[in-house]
Amino acid sequence: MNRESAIRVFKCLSDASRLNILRALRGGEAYGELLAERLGLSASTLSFHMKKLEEAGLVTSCKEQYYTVYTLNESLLRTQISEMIREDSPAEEDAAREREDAYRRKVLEAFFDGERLKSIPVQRKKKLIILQKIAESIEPGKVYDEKEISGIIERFHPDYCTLRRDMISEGILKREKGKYVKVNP
Amino acid sequence: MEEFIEALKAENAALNLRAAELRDQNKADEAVFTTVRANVYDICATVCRAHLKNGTPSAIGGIFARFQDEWSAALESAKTRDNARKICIEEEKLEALADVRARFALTGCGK
Repeated sequence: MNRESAIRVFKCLSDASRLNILRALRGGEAYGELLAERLGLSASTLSFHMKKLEEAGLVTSCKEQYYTVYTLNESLLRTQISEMIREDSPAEEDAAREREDAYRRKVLEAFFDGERLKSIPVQRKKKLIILQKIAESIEPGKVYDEKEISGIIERFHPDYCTLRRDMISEGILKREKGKYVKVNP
Repeated sequence: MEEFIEALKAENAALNLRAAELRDQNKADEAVFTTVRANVYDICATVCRAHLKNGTPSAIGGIFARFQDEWSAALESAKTRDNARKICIEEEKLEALADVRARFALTGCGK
């Protein structure tokens, strides 16, 4: 099991209702409607939880006429935690790194027009990529005054105040007595 | 009408308490859905309060109908995209709105 799959399983299991569903399914396969009734959940809430459990590979489903029948994936449930948290193989690590790089390139292409930042992303993961890109123009360890640091950031986007504040909150820049230092190269 | 608004506020408070309980029980997703439901009562109470203040309570029914149209469209869109989380959220909103509209009908203000 790779890292992403293990995280999906652990995230999925960190919800009491989903654990209750798995417990209920230990007694054997069950119809969605029956499970919802037994666990006091609405049909749409049960369906939401089942989708998460299916995505994590913990249950499987099949349609029987108008109903959906859910079954536990016993083999995954028998997987030991020690196996789930073992280190990824070098090939898996390379693949994960490639995926990260591709995602980073995609975000940069979407948000930059040449050297100019078109807009500030709302999603934190994307914003962090943008901030790291801007931070490449700031020398690590060098002390900048506010005008200098704002000038560098403004070359990318006019809202340098927001970006400067975000860089501080993300731990990229450190501010002390009105001076700025890049702390996270 | 004041009584109706107070009832919406009470429902909002009760649902927020329920959401806190669900969070304590490690049912984070259901807590979010319950908070969404609570917010509908809050939004509707705010709309009613504003129209009452402006002397336009007859407009409230139209606002609720607009909410219904927008949220129904959002639900359909979520179903098309098979987005289970969004389906739950839109269904919570529509169920709460149906309750609000049923209670509002009893006030006679919509006529």
